[in-house]
Amino acid sequence: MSYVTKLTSAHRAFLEDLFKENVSFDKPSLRVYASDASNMKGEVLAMVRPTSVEQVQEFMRWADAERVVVHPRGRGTSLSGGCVPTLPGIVVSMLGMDRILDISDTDFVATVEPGVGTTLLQAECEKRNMFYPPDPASSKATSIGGNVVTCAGGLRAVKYGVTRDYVLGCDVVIPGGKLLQLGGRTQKDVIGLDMTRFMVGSEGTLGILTKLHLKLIPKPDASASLLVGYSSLDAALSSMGKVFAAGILPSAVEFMNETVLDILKQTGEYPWPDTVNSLLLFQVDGAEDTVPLEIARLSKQIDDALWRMQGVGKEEENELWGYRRRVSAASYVLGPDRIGGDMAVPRGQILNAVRRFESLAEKNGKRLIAFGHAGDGNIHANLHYDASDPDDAERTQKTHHEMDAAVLEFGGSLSGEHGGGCLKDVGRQLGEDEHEMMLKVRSLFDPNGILNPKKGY
Amino acid sequence: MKRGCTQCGECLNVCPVYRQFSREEYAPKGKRLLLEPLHEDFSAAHEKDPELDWEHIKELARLCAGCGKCQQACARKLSTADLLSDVRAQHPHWTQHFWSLWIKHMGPMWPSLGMLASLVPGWVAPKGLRPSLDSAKAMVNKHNLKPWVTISKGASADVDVSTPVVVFQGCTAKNIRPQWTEKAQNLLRAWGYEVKDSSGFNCCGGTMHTAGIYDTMHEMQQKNIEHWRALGRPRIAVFCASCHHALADYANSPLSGQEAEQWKQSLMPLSRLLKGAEAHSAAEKPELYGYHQPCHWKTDEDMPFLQEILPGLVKGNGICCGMGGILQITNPDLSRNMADSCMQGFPRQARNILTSCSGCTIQLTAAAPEGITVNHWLDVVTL
Repeated sequence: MSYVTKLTSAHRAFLEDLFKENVSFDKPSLRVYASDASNMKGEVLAMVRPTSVEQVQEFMRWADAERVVVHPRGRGTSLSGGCVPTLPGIVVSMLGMDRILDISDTDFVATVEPGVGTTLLQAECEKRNMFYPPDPASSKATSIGGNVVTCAGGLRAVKYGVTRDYVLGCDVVIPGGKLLQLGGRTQKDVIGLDMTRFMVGSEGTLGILTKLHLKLIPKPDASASLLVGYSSLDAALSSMGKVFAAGILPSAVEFMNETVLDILKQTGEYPWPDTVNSLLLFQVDGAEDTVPLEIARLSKQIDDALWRMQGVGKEEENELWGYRRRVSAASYVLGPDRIGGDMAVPRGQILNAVRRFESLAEKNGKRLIAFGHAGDGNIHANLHYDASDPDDAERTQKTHHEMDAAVLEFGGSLSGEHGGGCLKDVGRQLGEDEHEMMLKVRSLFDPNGILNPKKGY
Repeated sequence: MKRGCTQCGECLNVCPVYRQFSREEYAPKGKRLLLEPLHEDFSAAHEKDPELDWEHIKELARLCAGCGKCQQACARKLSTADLLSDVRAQHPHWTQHFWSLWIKHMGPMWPSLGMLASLVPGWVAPKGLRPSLDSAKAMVNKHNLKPWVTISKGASADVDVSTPVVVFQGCTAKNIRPQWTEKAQNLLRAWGYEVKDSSGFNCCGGTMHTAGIYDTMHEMQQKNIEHWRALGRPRIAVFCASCHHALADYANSPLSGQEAEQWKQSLMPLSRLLKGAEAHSAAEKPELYGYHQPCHWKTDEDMPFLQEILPGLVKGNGICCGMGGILQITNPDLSRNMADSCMQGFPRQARNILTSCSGCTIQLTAAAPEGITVNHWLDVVTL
């Protein structure tokens, strides 16, 4: 397929006429749209920032007819290059469509435009005593549209599921300019194929989302957290199993391996004794009068812990979660640059997978920082290095690729949260027929392949 | 080589300039991507792109209010305001000399310029000049607000008055609101502190730093440090968040070692020295008033102090008044839009706004709609 690689004066005139002040062609403005949090870089021909669905439709009609590559974008926080132009194209920033259109306390549905910030939506729902549970760790930085096209997960996934579990319907403009209204505001809808789910996690390959109907639930009144220390990750994960076996479903369970404890000890104060080498952090939520009982029940199950610290209510919990939040910044003691992995494995395989990753890292002279969402088997497997040292950079890349191969052996996924973007070799994980079927679906929506080519799958 | 922006995007939520535009290029990460390649700490010379030199990027890159919020949100604690200052310093411009002149030598003329500006009706000025005209008018010292609260040192006030104190007044108080310094000194005396002479201090140098005029900034810092040394290193009471922010930085440079530590211990907000106040509200005190929290307090001790002596405080939900840095000079319209957004962040019933920064007071006074007053809290407190 051949695409436009340079905009003509007619192209520019069309875009200026359609978007007025919301189009940029100058290099300084385009610089930020050439990359994202993956730090990869592509070529941007222009940036447009629609403020209405009609603009998106007209733009997509034109782009398809002119064979102009289109790269939809939220806040540009993808760690897998999901926003980076793979071919020269026009970036469509959806931050101009950032209205919360409705939060209904009868339907328990929020209707929003894709550019709304995730934390803003969460806060607005909570003001009305409702709850939008998907909670990616980067929620302060992300937009809801970005969360939906990557099917963002987060800390609470163990109890509440991921973004796909909360998208009831969406409006999407496909190449050619047609507006599809998929799903709706009902909690149940079994008519036809679930086209809404095609969109969730589609990494901007099927269309541009312009409206989302999101499911809400009643806001839990209270929560409590428990930070628990063990001699090893083996002991920690074996103890976690007892909690689930006792029929307790925490709203979050985070784990931290021995290397994480080491860097936390190196970079700040810590309340646990030096015999503690691995941590679990539990959170339970629910009604005000049942949460203290639930946390006590959980605490009773983990009778083999070396140390524990409990926090009830936001202020006390904040202190406990502060140790988990410190991990990212503390990691830089192992090197100024980072490659992050976000593999997912079945919950029972976390220990085996982490130990395998650690041994691959060690073989290449690296240390693995492993932490993440133990409750749902999502491992953040980070490697730090010095990019100015070619040998270190090469060994780090090698380890990262070897971990990708290893995760599949455990029945896992290359990515639990960040998406394939333009970093993952998804063919490793997907069956040949399955992958071909996906590409066929993609071409139904986008026959000329203008949307995020060479990205996702 | 330092490691630069990771493009994580945490800065978008806290940046007041981004909030005005909702465009990524206006967020700190967008500016860093332009500025880092121009700075030797972040980039090698061969990596520079001639199409992204200072001349090409300056319009966009300098849209920063210097509020410092992005640095707090950043995992690497990168300061975009400092990066911009460094790059400005590398690219001198005649306007920097004018700014230096304005701050260093023209202070005594500010009240007269304010009076002159007040004679010009708003409708006469071209639209583009109105924000600057309003700012000039805001310099006029109306000084007609009746105090809302009388305070005195309470019997149980637990304060150590053994070390003398000097008030750091800053340019605004020195030139256009002298009553703030006088009041601060009187309050301290009433608490039992020995109050030293403030007149040897000059500008804190913060605005020179923002403008990248480092030689003048160093001169100012040196003069302030020498005055402090000459007074026997007393405690320094500061009632302006921006001055406090700039002065706190002296502990990193030019001071070092034990003296830096001593400076750090000496520097404090005025309100900390007035602990244990007993307050009696006057009839003039409104039931509810707005409080604009200045960006430049690392920890705002003035707000809890005010809550204690003046019930009815409602914090505005605006994030920056747009006065920080030199945005008011480089882009007065944006600076004014930010001030307008701040004013809209107060409840409608709040007809009086207080703050704890000289710059914020002037900026919000300029943007205040008819019938709304903006004051430093020192204006409403009396002995």
